[in-house]
Amino acid sequence: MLIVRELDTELVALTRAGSIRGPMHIGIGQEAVGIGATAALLPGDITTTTHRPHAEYVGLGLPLGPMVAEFMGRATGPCGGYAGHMLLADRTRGLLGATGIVGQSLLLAVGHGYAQKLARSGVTLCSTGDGAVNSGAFNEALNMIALWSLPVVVLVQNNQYGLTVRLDRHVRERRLSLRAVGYGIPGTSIDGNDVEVVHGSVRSAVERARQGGGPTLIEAVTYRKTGFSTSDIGGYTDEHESDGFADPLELAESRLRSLGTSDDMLGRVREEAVTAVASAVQFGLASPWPDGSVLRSAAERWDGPPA
Amino acid sequence: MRYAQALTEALREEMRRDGSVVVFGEDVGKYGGVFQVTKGLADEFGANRVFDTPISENGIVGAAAGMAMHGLRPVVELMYIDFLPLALDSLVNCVAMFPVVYGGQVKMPLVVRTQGGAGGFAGPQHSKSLEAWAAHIPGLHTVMPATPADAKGLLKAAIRSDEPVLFIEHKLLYNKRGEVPEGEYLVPLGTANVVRAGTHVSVFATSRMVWESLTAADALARRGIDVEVVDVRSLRPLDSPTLVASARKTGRALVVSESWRAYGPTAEIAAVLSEGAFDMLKGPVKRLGGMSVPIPASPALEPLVIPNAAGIEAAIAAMMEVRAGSPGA
Repeated sequence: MLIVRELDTELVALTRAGSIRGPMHIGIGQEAVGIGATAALLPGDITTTTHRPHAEYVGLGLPLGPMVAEFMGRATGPCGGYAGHMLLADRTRGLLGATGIVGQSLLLAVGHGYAQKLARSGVTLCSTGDGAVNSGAFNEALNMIALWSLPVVVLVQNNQYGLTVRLDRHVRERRLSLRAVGYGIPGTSIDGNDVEVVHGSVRSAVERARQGGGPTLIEAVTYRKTGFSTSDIGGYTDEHESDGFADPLELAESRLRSLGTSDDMLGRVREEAVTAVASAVQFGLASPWPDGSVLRSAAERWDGPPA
Repeated sequence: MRYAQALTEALREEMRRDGSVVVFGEDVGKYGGVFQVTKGLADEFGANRVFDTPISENGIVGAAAGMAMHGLRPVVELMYIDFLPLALDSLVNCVAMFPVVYGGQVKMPLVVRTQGGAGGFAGPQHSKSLEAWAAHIPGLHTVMPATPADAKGLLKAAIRSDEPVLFIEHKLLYNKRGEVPEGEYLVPLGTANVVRAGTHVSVFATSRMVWESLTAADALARRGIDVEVVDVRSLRPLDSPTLVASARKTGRALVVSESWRAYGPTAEIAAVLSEGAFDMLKGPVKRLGGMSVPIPASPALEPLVIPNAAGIEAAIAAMMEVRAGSPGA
C-alpha cells in the first residue's frame, strides 16, 4: 500500500510536470481494496479492472519501472506505450485487463469466468466501482455471472463518488451489496479501508468460487480522497464528509505497531517504497519512445492492399 | 443448398475441427436460432459449447471478448443488425482495439454473426443495413456474403481467423439456393469477387444487391449493354485492387447497397474508385442506396425505399446515354 500511495503521489507530480500527459486517475485513500483483494489470488487467476487501477497493478506484482514507462507512453511499457494508464494488460500476471469505459470490465469478466468454468481452473477478480453499478453492462454482467454460476468475484469499490456526483445523488439504495439479492448471489458489504478485512473477505469468496461455489458480490466501502482525475476542479464535496473514513495506511500501521512492529522497521519499509517508486520514475524517464512502426503495420492491415 | 444450410455446415465443420469454438446468443441453443442457422448444433456439441443468453447484446459481445482473450473462439449471434448499436461499446472499445492497445498480448478470435436488410416488411427497427458502422472501425473485419458458397467459405475463414469478424447475413438470402463446395472450402477474408464479367460498366454491389444487379445485367444484355458485376463481399479491409481494376477496365462505375448513401459503404467505395481509376473514368462514380428515411413497414412503402433491379437498370442506362458531342462518346 505504501508503494501505491507513493506511486500515486509521484504520478500527480509527473503529470503536473508534463512527464505524463493525458488524464491521470489516482486512488489515494482507496489503497486497501486493490492490495487486499489481489493478495487473495493465485497465479493463473484473472483480474479485470477500471480507470483507477493502480492498487491492482501493484498488488498483482506488475514491475514498477515498465508500469511507469507505460504511463509516460514509453516503449518499455507492457503495452509498448500505446495504452495509457487506464488500459494496461499483463498476461503473465493475469491482468486481462484494465479498461476505461465504466462497466465494460464486468463483461470481460463474464467471458473469462465462462472460460474458467469450462476449464475448471481459475477465478476472476472483477474490480469495479459504485459508478459502474448503474450501467447496463453491470446488470447484464451480474445476471450472466449469476445465471451461469461463474467463478467471478465482483468487487465494487464504493468510493462514494461517480466523477463529481456523490453516491446519494446517483443511487437511491446506497447499500449496493443488496443488488446481489436481485441477481440471486451472495453479497456483502465490508470496510474497504481495512486491508485485512478486504483480504479475508475476497479470499473467502475466491476460495468459494474455486471450489465451484459460484460468484460473490463484495461491496468495499471506502472514500476517494482525491479528485476524479487530475483535471478535477473540485468544489463538489461537503467539508467533513470524509471524516468517518480511516486512512488505510494509518490503520495498517497502527495495527502493525500494536503487534510489535518497530518504528525502525516501519521507517525502513517506507523508505523502500519511496526508493522503488523513485527508481521506477527514473526508469521511465530514461526509456525510449516508441517509433511509428506499430502504427504503420496496424493501419496497413485495415486499409487493405493499395489499389 | 440453401444459404442458411451452408452457414450451419460451416459452423458444424469448424466446431468438429476445433473444440475451442463456442456458439452463443439469443435463442441459438435448442431452438436453433430464429433463422435456424444453429439448428442441431446444441444436440451435437452440448450445452457448454452451444447456449442461449439472456437478451443482453452488449453482454454477448463483451463476454465474447473476455472468452477470446482467454483462449476460446466464440461465434456469437446478434439477431438483427438493428441491435448492433446496443453492442457497439464492446465491439468498438474492446474487440476492435485490444489486440493493438494491449501491445500484442491478446488476440480477438471471435465472430459476431448478424443479419440485416429490408424486403421482409419487418419494419423500421428490424430492416436496416448498418455495416458502415462496423466497417468504419479499424481492427474489425466486416464481411457480407451474398451466395451460399461464400456464406460457407467466409464463415469458415472468419472462424479460423485470429482477428475479429462482423459477419453480416441477409434475411432474404437465407433461403437462396446455390452450389456449395463440399468439405474444406474457405474464402479468404478481404477479397471481392467478379461474379459477372463485362465491358461497358462495372456495378459494385453488396449482399442482396448483388442478385438485383445480376438481374439488371441480364435485362441490360438484351439492350446491348454489357455489365460487369462485382460482389464487394469484404467491406473492411476492402479489396481495392479488384474494385479499381474493374473500374479502370470499363470506365464506368455504379455502387449499389441497401444502406443509406450518406456516409455509407457506397461513399467509401466511390472514393476509392475515384482515387484509383480517375484517369480511366468516363464520368463520376454513381451510387444507389436506401432512401434517407426509416424503412417503412407498409408493403406499399417498403419497396420504394430500397434499390432494386429496375432502378439499377435505369441508372446504368442513364450512365450509358451518350449525348451528341459529349466527351467520352
